[in-house]
Amino acid sequence: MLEAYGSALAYLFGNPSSFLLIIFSVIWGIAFGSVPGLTGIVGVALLIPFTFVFDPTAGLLLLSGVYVGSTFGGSISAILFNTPGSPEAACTALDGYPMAKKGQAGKALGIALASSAIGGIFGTIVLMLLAPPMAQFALNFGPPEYFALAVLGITAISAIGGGSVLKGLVAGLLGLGIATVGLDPITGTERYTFGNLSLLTGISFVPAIIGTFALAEVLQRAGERTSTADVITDVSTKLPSMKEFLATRFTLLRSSSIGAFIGALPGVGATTAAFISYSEAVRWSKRPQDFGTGVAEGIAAPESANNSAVGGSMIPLLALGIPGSATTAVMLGGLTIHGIIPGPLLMETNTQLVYTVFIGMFIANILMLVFGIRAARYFALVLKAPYALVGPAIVVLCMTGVYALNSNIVDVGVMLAMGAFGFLLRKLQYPIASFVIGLVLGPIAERSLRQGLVISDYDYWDFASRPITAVLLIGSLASLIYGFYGQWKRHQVAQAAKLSEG
Amino acid sequence: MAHRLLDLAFASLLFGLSIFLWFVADGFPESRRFAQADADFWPKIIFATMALITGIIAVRTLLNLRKDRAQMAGAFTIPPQFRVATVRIGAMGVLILTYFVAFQHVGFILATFVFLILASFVIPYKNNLARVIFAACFTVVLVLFFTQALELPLPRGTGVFYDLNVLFY
Repeated sequence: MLEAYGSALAYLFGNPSSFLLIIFSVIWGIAFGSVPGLTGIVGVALLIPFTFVFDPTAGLLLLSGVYVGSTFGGSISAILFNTPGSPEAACTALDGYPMAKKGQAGKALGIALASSAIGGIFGTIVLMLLAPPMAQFALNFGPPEYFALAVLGITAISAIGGGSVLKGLVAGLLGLGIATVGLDPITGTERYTFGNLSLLTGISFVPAIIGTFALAEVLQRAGERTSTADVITDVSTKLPSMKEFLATRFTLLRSSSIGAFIGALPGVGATTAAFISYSEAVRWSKRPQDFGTGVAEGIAAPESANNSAVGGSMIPLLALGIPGSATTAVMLGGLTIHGIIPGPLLMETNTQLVYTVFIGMFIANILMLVFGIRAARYFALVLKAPYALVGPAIVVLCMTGVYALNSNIVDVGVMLAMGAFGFLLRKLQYPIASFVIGLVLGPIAERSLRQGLVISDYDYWDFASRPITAVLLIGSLASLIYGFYGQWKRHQVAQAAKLSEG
Repeated sequence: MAHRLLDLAFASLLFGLSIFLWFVADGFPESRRFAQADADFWPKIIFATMALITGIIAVRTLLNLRKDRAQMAGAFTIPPQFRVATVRIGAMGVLILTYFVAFQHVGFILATFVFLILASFVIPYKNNLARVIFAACFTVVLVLFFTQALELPLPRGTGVFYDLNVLFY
């Protein structure tokens, strides 16, 4: 292994242009990640043709740098405009934007940046040290395990929002319900399309998330009294102090571990990692009712998880040849163009390539700290403009970005519908977080449950008694009960305080 | 009280919708092979649960509403700032919908330029010149960025608008 790293370092220092490629790719990734609708997938896809002129190692460095940068980039617009630039930043908006509205935008960006860097470095270290054994462990995950993992994320629904548990559950069920629109993944039956061909592919969650956050926010701001005097001012990214960093150390460690692990599961990716990590942060917090009001853990958890998942998702790609996420699926195309076949043999036949990518991703995460601070400053300039101009511009940008995804006007229609729906949910105090969690995890939960039941011949006991599944399901049930108990206890304390005042 | 009424209406709507969608799921074609975990399996679980919970919310809200009515003295009024906010939100919503339609038929350039100017009137702002300049510059930047830099397509509209937009991209 040491020899392999030596060879990789020799390549990097022997080809100084590699550093320029990493710098360019991180900046490109941050830019693409921060524009709603564009996402890192588009950033990677657009660069694939350009990798023709490079050797395979340089090409892969370019693509992985974009992946690293874009995963952080989404948090900038999520925090400053409540408009997640990419789906994995949706959770960041839940606490990042409220913190920015409290006049702490710089702090929010600093937490996001530091958490992303820490998570990214953690994920890369896991990738460097544990790629083959983790890949083998990930193969133990079958449909029952995926279902249990989705349940783990979904059971936090009741605790999120701090308000009515019932409303949290309804919001989550709405998300789960909307995710059933389209073709049934097992039988191919049309569900809830009502004869509309455009709905056959279902409700795509990228336009849905952008609509729920960005458009709903524009509508909300249109109804407010503030006009030119915007709430978010004086944005200069401030990295967290040592005290602030230590206060979130357990969240960072837990979330980075979750991110690396979930990233290593084929077909799951950074978005799921961010949501499950956020759910766990709520579950483990002593004050879960504070989530959604602008707490540091609410930013640190999803950001460290989604960046850690970047490293994690490279594990099945390189070690097994199976993409760990949508972005790595696109990267697989890039590798194939160069005649590289990822899989178990790759680490033996192309050692220099693999280890150079490991080091390249490590450097990219560090560079992300440097460029992330600067990128946030440029975005912050936009905040000086009056919202009368910025608000409509956000609408235009979202519609254009979503349209550009697939050149499909139906996606734009979905975004608008979700925008109106998200606005209504906000007004009636149904937690958006629960809704989005249901929307994102619903397809995984349903597909895995039904596949698992088919495989186990509809034996529910056989399904649930698999070791990993059992552990995850029991853990989910225990924390669900604990969550309800916590809510009940807080209610009792509030009632007692009311009585003593009266 | 207005909030409770909206709550009740929404919860009742969701209750009715859940039941309707449950029956729609019941009508999905059956598959012999996957009979025990068919296409209706998951939706029925979701919508049955949703009907139950929204029913509880609706009943609870109704009881709270009756308690509020009993405690309230005087007529129920809508505060003026609520009316202003509703008008602004409604106006923005209508403009966005119009932009969505125009996006397809008129093409990106004209639709975006007009939308940016009109939508900026919804939120109070005095500088009209800045409105027009910003709308023009932003539209140009977006067209150049998407069509030239990224080579991603933007809507060109239909008919004479199509011919006009083709001149630019």
